[in-house]
Amino acid sequence: MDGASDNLHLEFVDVALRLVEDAEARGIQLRILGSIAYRLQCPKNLHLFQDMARVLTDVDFAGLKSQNQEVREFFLTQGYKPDEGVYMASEGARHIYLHPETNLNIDVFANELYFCHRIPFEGRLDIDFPTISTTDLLLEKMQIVEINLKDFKDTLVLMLEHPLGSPADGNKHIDVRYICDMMAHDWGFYHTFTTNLRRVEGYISEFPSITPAEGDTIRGRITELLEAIDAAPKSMKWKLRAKIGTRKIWYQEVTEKSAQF
Amino acid sequence: MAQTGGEQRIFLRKASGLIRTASGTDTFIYNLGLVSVGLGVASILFYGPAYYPGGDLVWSCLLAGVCMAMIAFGFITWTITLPRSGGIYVFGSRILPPGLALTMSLVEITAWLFYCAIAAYWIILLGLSPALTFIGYLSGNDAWVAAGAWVVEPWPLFLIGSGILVLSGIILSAGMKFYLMTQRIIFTSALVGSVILIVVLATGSNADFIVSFNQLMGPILEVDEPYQAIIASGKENGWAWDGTTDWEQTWLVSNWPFLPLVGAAFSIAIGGEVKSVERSQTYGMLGAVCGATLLWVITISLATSVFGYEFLGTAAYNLLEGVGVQTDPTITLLAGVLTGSPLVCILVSLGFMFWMWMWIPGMHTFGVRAIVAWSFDRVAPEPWARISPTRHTPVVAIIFTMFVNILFMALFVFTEFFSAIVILIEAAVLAWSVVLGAGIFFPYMRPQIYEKSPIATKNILGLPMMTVACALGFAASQFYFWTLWSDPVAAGHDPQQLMIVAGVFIIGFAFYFVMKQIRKAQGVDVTLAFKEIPIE
Repeated sequence: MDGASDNLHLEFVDVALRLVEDAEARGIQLRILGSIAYRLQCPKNLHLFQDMARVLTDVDFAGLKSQNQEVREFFLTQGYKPDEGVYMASEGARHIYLHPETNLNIDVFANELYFCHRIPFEGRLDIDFPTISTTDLLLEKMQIVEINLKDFKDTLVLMLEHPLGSPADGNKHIDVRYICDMMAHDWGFYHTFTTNLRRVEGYISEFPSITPAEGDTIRGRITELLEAIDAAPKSMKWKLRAKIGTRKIWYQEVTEKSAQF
Repeated sequence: MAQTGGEQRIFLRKASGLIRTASGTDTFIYNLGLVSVGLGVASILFYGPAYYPGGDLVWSCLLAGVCMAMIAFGFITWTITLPRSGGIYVFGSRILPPGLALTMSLVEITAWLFYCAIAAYWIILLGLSPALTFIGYLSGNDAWVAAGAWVVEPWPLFLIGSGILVLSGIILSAGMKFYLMTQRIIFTSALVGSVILIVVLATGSNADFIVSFNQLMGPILEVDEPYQAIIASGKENGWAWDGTTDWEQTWLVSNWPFLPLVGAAFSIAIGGEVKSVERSQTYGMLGAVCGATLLWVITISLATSVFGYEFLGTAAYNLLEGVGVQTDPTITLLAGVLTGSPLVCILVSLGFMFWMWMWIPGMHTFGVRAIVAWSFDRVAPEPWARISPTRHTPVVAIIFTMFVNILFMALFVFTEFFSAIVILIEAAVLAWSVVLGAGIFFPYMRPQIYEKSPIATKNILGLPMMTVACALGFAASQFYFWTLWSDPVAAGHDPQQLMIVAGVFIIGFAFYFVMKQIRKAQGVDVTLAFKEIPIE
């Protein structure tokens, strides 16, 4: 690795892979999410992350609440120290571990990732390995209300790498029907998701190395996905909530991470 | 928000976020439940006219409401600056000597856990027993009356009360989300009971009540015109009122609305779990003070008009002093008499029991959160904060505090001395006062923490908002400490009871110094935890 790569903390990718494989060997289902998962799921466009100088800051995992005890024991045996306050306050929905020597921070989200909007993991961790599915990765970024530049860039790379499709097309396709079903029942998530997705193509110019043809591919997939979401029949609850719109807060508020006890 | 006025923005998130559990509404319900509006009405009407003749109950509620709002203002600035769970321990430990901070917290939670047991006791004494008795009176079935008397016998009282305390432990061990959900349901039911009571009182009159009361209670008390007889016998036995407002009595009787109103600031116990802390805590605490005061003013005005101030005073006086013609004048029973309806009696009684119930898991949570905070700071054994692998809640702290509650229940039921202890609330108010007093100086003594507070830029009269708010809170809490000190009925300063309080202080200091030595032997300096600068 060169000096620039060192600053990006690419060694965290190896740590994440080792942890998820060790856990799997012990019967513990962990799947990588977040920026490391994007790197692992986009091998053909890895250079774009290099262009972005995307710094890895921590390692995030999806897990199952039913395996919380095993997950805690696993990380303790790996030398990590748990943040008991967060675990208690979240009632086991979230674990945070810190390695006292490497200062690597690990987040585990049990059963779901629920920041601004809920992304369930139950029954979905078998779709792919060692990361969550590409569909859930897209949802993970597009549920963020206070979205930032790196989230848009990650999404661009994902949309370039992976075509839209269905589970029948393979586990690397972005599952359009799953997303449409989710959006058709939750107006708040629909609003955040579609608002963010419409903005993604505006950041294509941030990547000089994306060719015009690749840009068109991204635009086409975004348009196709937005059209499918809009065409999907909506629930009564969705229609009633849509009438209120953004006058009422439509997402769960997220605060800065801090000690809770 | 991502979009403001159509403008699309890019955000800089510094770190991955955190989701907190309790919304503004949950915080409001938590606090208003801990005020226990129904219990407040019952105790003000029971003790007020009886022992403070001439005291204006409405003005006393307003005085207590204003002072409690000042105390809440001080705690709002504390919890916004240090949004962590654990009650006054979290605040005191960052500015006071560590031993003092832990002791204040121990005094505080001892009082709250003691009141948990008292609430369970009152659910039976003031809710269940009168309801059973009144159903017996109306139906003419003596079995109900006997059941009403049986449930207040020591062993049934202890066992039913302990069952209520165990239920609180079960709910808390199911998690904060589940507890908050149950509180919403209980709160709605309790509010329905209070509204029914207001409607019953608003549609009744003093003349209606006298007729109903004399018809129903005459044969039971074996007295002609028992309403008039109760008043006459009360006066003969020492209850005196010249019909004018006595402002000294008004000041002293304000202890009774103040005592339950302290619950309006209890969300400091769950500060680390409250969403949008600035908005939710302000709305939750001040909303609870205003809501409870308003409900009391309406209910008490109507009740004194319908039942009569002299009747309420003499009926409770006769019962408490064991003189003259005696009957149970709890408001649930009187509302039932007014309507002659068992259904109304049951609904109002259930409403009161729900209000009283809301004290129990709320105060229990306070104790649990304080113990967990001590444990995380290593001034208590680590196992006390151990989290259940299946329930994901601090079951050790929950069970430990539940047994303390049951122990208090036993002491309260089976001993005469502990059943007379009323002074612990005074000790808790003193502990609050010390922490509020420290808050006056916090912006100057811990500027590196205060500068990160969302209120750091807000000033009042050129002084930091926290300094002003805590000064007001300190003044109000001192005012009520001395008001309670001056009132032997509500608290007082009985030497034997003061010894109990002194004992709790000594235990607190001893506990801290023992833990400090144990940690020192383990190579841990616990004082470092108190010097830690929170990252808020």
